Amino acid sequence: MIRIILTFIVFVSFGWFGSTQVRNENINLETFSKYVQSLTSGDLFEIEDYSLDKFFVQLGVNYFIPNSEDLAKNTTELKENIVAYCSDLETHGASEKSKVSLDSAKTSWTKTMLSYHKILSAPLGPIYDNSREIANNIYSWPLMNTCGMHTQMISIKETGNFDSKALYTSQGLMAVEFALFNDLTTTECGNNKRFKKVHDWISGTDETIKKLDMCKLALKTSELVEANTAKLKSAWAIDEGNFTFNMVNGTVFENFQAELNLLTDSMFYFEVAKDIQLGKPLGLHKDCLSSEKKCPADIEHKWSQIGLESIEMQFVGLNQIFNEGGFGQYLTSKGHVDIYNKVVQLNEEIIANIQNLKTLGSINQQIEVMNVDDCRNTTETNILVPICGLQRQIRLVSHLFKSELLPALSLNTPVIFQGDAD
Amino acid sequence: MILKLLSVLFNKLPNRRFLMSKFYDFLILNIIFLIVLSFIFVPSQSLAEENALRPIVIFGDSTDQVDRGFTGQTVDEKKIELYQYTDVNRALKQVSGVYVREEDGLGLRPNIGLRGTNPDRSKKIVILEDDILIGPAPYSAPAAYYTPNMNHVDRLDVYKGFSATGIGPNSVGGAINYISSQIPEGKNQSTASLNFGSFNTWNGKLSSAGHTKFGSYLIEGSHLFSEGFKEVDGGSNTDVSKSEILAKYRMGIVKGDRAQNLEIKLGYSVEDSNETYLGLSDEDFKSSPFRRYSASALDNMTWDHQKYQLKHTLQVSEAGLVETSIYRHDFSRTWNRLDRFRDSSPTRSLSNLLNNPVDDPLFYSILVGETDSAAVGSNGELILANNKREFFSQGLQSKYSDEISLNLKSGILKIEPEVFVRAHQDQIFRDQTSNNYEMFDGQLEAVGDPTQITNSEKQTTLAYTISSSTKFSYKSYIINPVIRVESVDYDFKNNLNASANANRTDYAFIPGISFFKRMSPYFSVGTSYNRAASLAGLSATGDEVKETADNYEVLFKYLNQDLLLQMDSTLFFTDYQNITGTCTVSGGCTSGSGEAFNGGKANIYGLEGGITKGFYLGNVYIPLGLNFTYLNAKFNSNFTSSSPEWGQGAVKKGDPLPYIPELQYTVSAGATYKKFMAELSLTSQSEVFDQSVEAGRIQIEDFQFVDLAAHYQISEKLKASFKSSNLFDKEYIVAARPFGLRPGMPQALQIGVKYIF
Repeated sequence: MIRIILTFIVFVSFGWFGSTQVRNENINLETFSKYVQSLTSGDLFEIEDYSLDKFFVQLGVNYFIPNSEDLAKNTTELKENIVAYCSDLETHGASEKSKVSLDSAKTSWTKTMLSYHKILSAPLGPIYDNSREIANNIYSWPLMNTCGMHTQMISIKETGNFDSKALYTSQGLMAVEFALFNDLTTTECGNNKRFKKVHDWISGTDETIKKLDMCKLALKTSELVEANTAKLKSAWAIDEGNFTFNMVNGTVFENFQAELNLLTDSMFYFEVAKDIQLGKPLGLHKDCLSSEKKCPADIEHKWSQIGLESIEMQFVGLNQIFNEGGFGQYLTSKGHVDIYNKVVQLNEEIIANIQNLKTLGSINQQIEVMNVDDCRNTTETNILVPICGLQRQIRLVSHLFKSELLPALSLNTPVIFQGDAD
Repeated sequence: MILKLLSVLFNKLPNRRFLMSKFYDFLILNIIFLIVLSFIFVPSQSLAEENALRPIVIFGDSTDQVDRGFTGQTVDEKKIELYQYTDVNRALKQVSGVYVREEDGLGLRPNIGLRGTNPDRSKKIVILEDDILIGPAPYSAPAAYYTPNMNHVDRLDVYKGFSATGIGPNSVGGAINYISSQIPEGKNQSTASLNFGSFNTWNGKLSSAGHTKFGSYLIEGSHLFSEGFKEVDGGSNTDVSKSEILAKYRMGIVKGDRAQNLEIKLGYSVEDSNETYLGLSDEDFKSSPFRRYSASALDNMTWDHQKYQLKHTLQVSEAGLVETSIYRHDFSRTWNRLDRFRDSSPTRSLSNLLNNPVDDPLFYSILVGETDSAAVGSNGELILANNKREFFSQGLQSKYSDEISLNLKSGILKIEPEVFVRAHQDQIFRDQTSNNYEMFDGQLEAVGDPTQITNSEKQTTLAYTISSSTKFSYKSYIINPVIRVESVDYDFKNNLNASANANRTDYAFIPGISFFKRMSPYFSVGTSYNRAASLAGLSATGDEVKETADNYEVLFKYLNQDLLLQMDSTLFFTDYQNITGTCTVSGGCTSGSGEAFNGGKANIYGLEGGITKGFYLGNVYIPLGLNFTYLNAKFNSNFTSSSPEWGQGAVKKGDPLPYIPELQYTVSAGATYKKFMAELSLTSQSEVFDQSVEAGRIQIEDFQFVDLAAHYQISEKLKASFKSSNLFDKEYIVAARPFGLRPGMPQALQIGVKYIF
């Protein structure tokens, strides 16, 4: 009997010490409020007693909440600018006043779009709830149905509402971009009787009417986007959904280590910049199937041409996570200040590089003139085509995350990128 | 008359123009060849002399099971004929230690594993036909799954563990030797058989064999057609057809007390099957397991296989034989099939979408044809791969075997030496393109984009094998040392990317030894050790990726003929120093390049065995049988896997190897009464996992099915048969690979007749 008890004790002991699960104490609302108070008053947490719960509170207060508020505010402004533009079109037709209000709407759209790209530095939490409902309704690129946007425009023109079968791929901020920036003479709808109304509209509608129809599409879509950005803001707001508190009170995540891994998983969104925003248009990704070995038609923001700015904003957001968001402090508290510095420095180099690249034209313009072989032969150190050098530079971030940051914190690479051999 | 019947049969075929042109060309060539040979080798000997050297088949004969030491197991001719097996997967479930991962439910793409080796595309076992490597390119492309047509197979011999030591290249698990239709002993005989069954399945075979003064011959042809048991949304056909013609000619010469035989074997087979890699989501499987999504509507595989074999057997002493074969096999196949979405992000892989359809309902709805591809733009286009492969496999092999008895003072020492040498070359040429389609109103429509060249590469392997086995029998003891040595030169050329070119030379030294003792006339025990290796090919960087393992066995055999009771059991332990995987689409890899992966250490141990017992109940003979396999197959080290075969991510010590059931068994009960014979068998397989990595691992539930087969001998020349596969119409999942859940065959009934004339 004694042997059995001893054996049991030994097993239990091994089980206890063998556990690798890191579980911090969940915090209550009082402690949470104290943390928030010290952050909003400008007092940073001390490195010596920095912990994951403090980090998550800091991340929520300094990154997620302000960015979601910013997005919501910008979206409301965007809608108001579109209302003004539509009103000017109705009142004054294609006048100079309408052109000015169109420019205001475009500027407002760009501001809104870039604030969303900043959020995409780490899409986590409410934005991906319910099968990414909010994310999809705000912006679903690269999933995009431009023919669908035309059919939605026809539906709004005829009924005042979206088609009942409308999908988010023909809505969101990219539909607003399409409506405000695109020309009015072409469509991607095939020559099928299903799309007869679209073709008739393209060929037989007065241009001012067309602009008004597209403005109404932009307005209807911006209302939908506004509703979703408001939901996102509400979900993070401390006096409403308070998702920041949910991150530290144990109601959402199994443990803080798993939660931290979810955060780093979401930060791998820069892979989209590497592979889809740049890799595919540059012909460096297998989804580019063109015989010309490059796919400029697949660039993001092909109507507004703000592709470089959108990538820049992701890395601005990434640095915000490491600096104001507290990830750097957490790394430092764990003895990895070197990794923190490397990440921030690399991000800043990318941002500086993008500033330079902007002087060479848009991504599309740079792809048009580049030599595809030179692009393929471009490396991090031998930059034959500058825009391809940016793609290689982002690859370094991926490598830094996989080889240093994640191992240092005993975190896993997101499953979908584990097999990525580059 | 046979030719006439064959031509009538072929006129009924779908795609018969293509098939007929190739089939008739080959048939005519065969006949001319046979006639010419008959005149060249005019024999001067009688029929009896010609048959003098026919080897006596002792393999699988139960009477000497207790005496023979480590031998293989067999699925014999009676069993194959009773169940009218056209699916080798089902036939092999009768053998312990063998497990299969079904794919299409019809046995077109067998995935066979032995003793814990990954069954994916049968890449870890050796497939032989009449002792000759029959895989399309067994060294260069072991994962090119191919199975000889069961219509022309008399017997299946299965070698596992020690008994496979001398067989290469990939024999950690073992080898399966398909014994093709044999020329019947001493009689002229023609047979015609026709079976008809569920899913409009027709299977016909004509065979004629005879003995003339010019030699003995066998020529037979078969054709199998089935509409299949799945239904494609939108109504595309799922037809499958397989045809084969096999011709053998043998002549013998006897001079004094020495004899020699020359046998020529020619075969040509074709397949045209509208099969797919695409399975179902869990929810769809539950509601309609035999559904196929419309995205798979254009999937089709065609292949043709040609085999030329010439075997010379020379008697060099009273019991000494030298058997020399020269062979050439050509295999060509094209599989046009759904490969992926244009959006190649891992979350949109077909397997991921079907495993988690709620995570990406839009792409899922495109896949099933409910939403147009245009809804998501060009990302929603579907890529259909057109994977062409050209293989050849050729070689020269020779085996010397003898039996020498030495009279020692204390008793007789019997020595049975066997030396085998083989020079073999094979090649795979992958020529792959792809085309873009879009889903529009539930149908696939070609997009105007040009055809993409996705792969063009060639791998050639030259291998030399020498093996030696000597069995020493003294009194009740048998000691059997074996060695195999292989030297293999791989050469890989990529026509699209010269920097990927690689070559490598590999060597393998495989020793083994067994000890066996007959304890009594009824009972024997044995133990063995052997080194085992699989020479799996090249890694992406051209590094060595050789699988090595140590294999230990303990067996016992019991046979009491008086009691009609036979039992055997083997306890085995396989200690892998380095288990390897291969990148195949069927295994979950997206590129399907054949690249090999290292997997680290793994331990596999298990117990397998069988019991057969017969008894009479009045005038009815009742045979009962049980075969079982218990396996514990787990990784023994931690590593990060980049191979989809094991899953991508962290593999931990103790994680299971994919698709290896812990327990499987088959129980059978039969009845033989005068001209009637029937057998009922229950096959059970415990749960398996689709990958080793815990994250995202899918558990495939255990399943059982019952098969029933019966014969009635109407007259001396006419026999009627009936069989039911999956008698109780059990719905079960056989795999979650390549993409989504795949069903086992539902209840299938079949009736048939066989006429001998």
